[in-house]
Amino acid sequence: MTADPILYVEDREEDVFLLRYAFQEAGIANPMRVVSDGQQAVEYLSGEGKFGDRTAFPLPSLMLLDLQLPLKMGLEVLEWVRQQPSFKSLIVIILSSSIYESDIRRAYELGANAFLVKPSDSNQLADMCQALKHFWFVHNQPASVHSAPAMIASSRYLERR
Amino acid sequence: MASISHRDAGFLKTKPHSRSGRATRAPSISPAGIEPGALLAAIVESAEDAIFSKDLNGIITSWNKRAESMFGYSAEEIIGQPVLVIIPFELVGEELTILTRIRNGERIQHYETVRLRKDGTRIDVSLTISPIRDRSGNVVGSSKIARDITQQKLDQKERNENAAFLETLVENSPDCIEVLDLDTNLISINAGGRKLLEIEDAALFLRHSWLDRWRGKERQDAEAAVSEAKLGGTGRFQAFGTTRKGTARWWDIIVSPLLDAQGRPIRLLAISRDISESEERFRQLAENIPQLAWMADAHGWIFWYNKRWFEYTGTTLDQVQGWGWQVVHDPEHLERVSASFKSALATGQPWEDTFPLRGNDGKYRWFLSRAFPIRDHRGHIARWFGTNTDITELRKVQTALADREAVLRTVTNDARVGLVMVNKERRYVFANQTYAEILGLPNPDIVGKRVPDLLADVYDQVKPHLDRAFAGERVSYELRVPSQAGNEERIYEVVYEPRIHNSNEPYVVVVIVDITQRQKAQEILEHTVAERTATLQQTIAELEGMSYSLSHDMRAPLRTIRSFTQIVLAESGDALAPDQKQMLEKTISSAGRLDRLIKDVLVYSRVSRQPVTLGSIDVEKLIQQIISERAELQPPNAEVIIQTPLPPVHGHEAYLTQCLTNILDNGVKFVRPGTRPHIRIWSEPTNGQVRLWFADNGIGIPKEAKDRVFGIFQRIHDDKTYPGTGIGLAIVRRAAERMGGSVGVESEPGHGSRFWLQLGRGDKE
Repeated sequence: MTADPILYVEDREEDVFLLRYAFQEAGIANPMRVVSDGQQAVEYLSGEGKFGDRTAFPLPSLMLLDLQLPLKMGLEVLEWVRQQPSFKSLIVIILSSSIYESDIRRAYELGANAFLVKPSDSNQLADMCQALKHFWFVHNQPASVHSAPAMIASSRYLERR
Repeated sequence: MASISHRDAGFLKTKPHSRSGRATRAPSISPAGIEPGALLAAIVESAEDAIFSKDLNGIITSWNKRAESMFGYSAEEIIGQPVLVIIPFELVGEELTILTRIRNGERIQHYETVRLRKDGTRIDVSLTISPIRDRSGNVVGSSKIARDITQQKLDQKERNENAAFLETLVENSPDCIEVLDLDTNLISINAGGRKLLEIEDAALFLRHSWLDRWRGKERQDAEAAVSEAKLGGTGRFQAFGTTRKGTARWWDIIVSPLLDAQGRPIRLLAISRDISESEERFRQLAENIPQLAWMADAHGWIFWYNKRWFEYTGTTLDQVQGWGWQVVHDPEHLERVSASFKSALATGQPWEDTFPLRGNDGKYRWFLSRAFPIRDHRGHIARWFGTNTDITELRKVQTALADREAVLRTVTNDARVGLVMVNKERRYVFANQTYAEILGLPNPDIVGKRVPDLLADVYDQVKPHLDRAFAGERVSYELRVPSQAGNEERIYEVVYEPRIHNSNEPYVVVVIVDITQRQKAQEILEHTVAERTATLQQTIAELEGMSYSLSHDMRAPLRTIRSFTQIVLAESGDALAPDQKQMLEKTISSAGRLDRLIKDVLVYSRVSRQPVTLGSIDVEKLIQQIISERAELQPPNAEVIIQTPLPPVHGHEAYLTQCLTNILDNGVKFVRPGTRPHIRIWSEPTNGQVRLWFADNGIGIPKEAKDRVFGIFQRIHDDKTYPGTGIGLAIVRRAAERMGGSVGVESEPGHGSRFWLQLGRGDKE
């Protein structure tokens, strides 16, 4: 049984690469599903179009969401997510290079679980992923049924360690 | 009782008792042809003098009627008696002498003596005694005519007493009373005169001309007075003269004639009164008035000026007496002034004129000059008293006032401001032309008309405001006159200023300005402002968008460069040469620096722009928190000591954190290599604010750089020694200012810096 994936909404391939690298460094074993724009993020979550196969595109236990996205901006995606009854408790973490207070405030108002600023240093990114793993996959008690597999994944990782 | 025979000239021989006195009086009105003796007897009998006769032995032989009443003896009683009965005892010798003289045929006339009446009283009489001769010419007796001169004697006595009285009066008069002959030579002078003139020996003056005592103008006055007296009138003048001993006196002199029985002047009487005291008082008064003063005679001949005149003009009496004053007059005005003064002299009317007089300094000043006549007891002008009042300053003020009034008039009429005054009855009491013009009234002549009539169309708008103004309130409002045929709506700004008039009648000053154009311009302006604001907001939005892309789009590639280089370097192992690895490390640090720079610029612009809400902040706690979060502020790296307690300040937490972090970072950064940074923090109250001091042991700041350190991108050290973006202190200053505070530094190179941050005091807890 594979762990529930982490859905990373990011249009910049370089950032996707860096996060994958950092996940490895941090020992996060959850598969990373990547969609490159806001529209796809919505489609993925709603299982529309090419994301209709839930086996190929299982619901994520956690979503990392960039703000500057093509087609649909990150905050719009977030807003949509929180409007869906089934995703009210989905863990959504904003991962952005923005340090705008208005972005940050708006994100929390729309129901973001956390707001992380992308470090410009790969080591810091690795540290951040490490922290992310500990907080969300070890210490955190998720509410949603979709999050149960993630806990398993994390516990598996812990066992593996 | 007839004592004289009437029948003939020899009546003295007649026995007196032959006829009664009464009988003699009856035929006093005798028809023609009456015998001469009877007529004579009648005359004697009715004479007003006592007439009697006596013989050579002194025996009375006749006695008329008047003698009876004068002496109290009837003819019957006295005839036959010696005449001695009516002669006082002590005068008996006198009678003997008279008898002797009569015997010698002498006639005695007007012999004044005293006789006795029957009752023993005495009577003054004047006697005329004539011898009586017989036909052969022998003296046989005498007739005596006695006139009663008691009254005459009394009159004489009275006259004598009067003369003595008058003499005493004259002698004792304090005035100088002199009698002159018609050539004015002194005949007599009283004691008062001798005293006043300080003469010891009057004889020296007698026979000397009184006129010669006077000189110059006074001589003329004296001659005029004498002439007048000689014509029977009274001459009077006032004059200045000195006494024999040189004492200066002012005289009021009256010269009058002494007339003979025919009314012709035979002597002159000169009475001189010393008025020095009152004159002195008058002059003293004239000396002490603030004006220039002078006195002229009736002809305008000025004989006296006060000291002020001489001081101001710098002249002497010799120069300006008479008509000499013309030398200090402006030639331009002289002719007019002389004419007006002469005209006053001629008419005797008070004189007033305004003209310049030259002062001692050669400069002219303006004077208001007045003169009024002083009249004597007869109403003749004795002299003129004049004053000159300096009105140069007054004229200046008046000129200034007139100028200002002209300006005001011009302004009120030319300004595009309607200006009117309205009284309690809502009537215009004053209006400038503009008022009618800007309100489009057909007739500008509106004074006296009523506001409700003139502004009927808009009076319902006007009335409440006007009423408030009359209640004492200053009112300002916009009056809109609706558009009428061919005219668009007009807008006026109206101000009502309540005033109390001198006569306590309230009125309101109305100022009205046509602001239609202004209002339109305002609308255009507002529109323009709105447009520009929109443009500006768009620009700001664009700028914000740019900042956003700075933070996002520009930092993303940087992140990639940095992170990828880090990964390459981490995984290269031995594939890269050491210098290659060094280059990659440089790439990483450069990218890091650029990233910090971008972040700082963003912070700075955000601090500049974002609205900020201030509150009370526990600065002590905040500093401690900052220290605890930053290893570089903690031992062993550095030592930061707070002199507690620090009072709360009025600020914004994020901004204050920026400030404190930057100041503390600077403090530990700028130290000489190998020195352990040390920062001491304390507070001091300053003008109701709190000043936080941060003293470090760093390298200090050169004087010339002190002002620069708070500017953006200002760096005073090369990047190698003390790396930085040059924005940190600019952010501090901007943040401090946004919190209503200020920031500064005191420093000497080599002795560290003392930064201070001053903020409002927070709430006390």
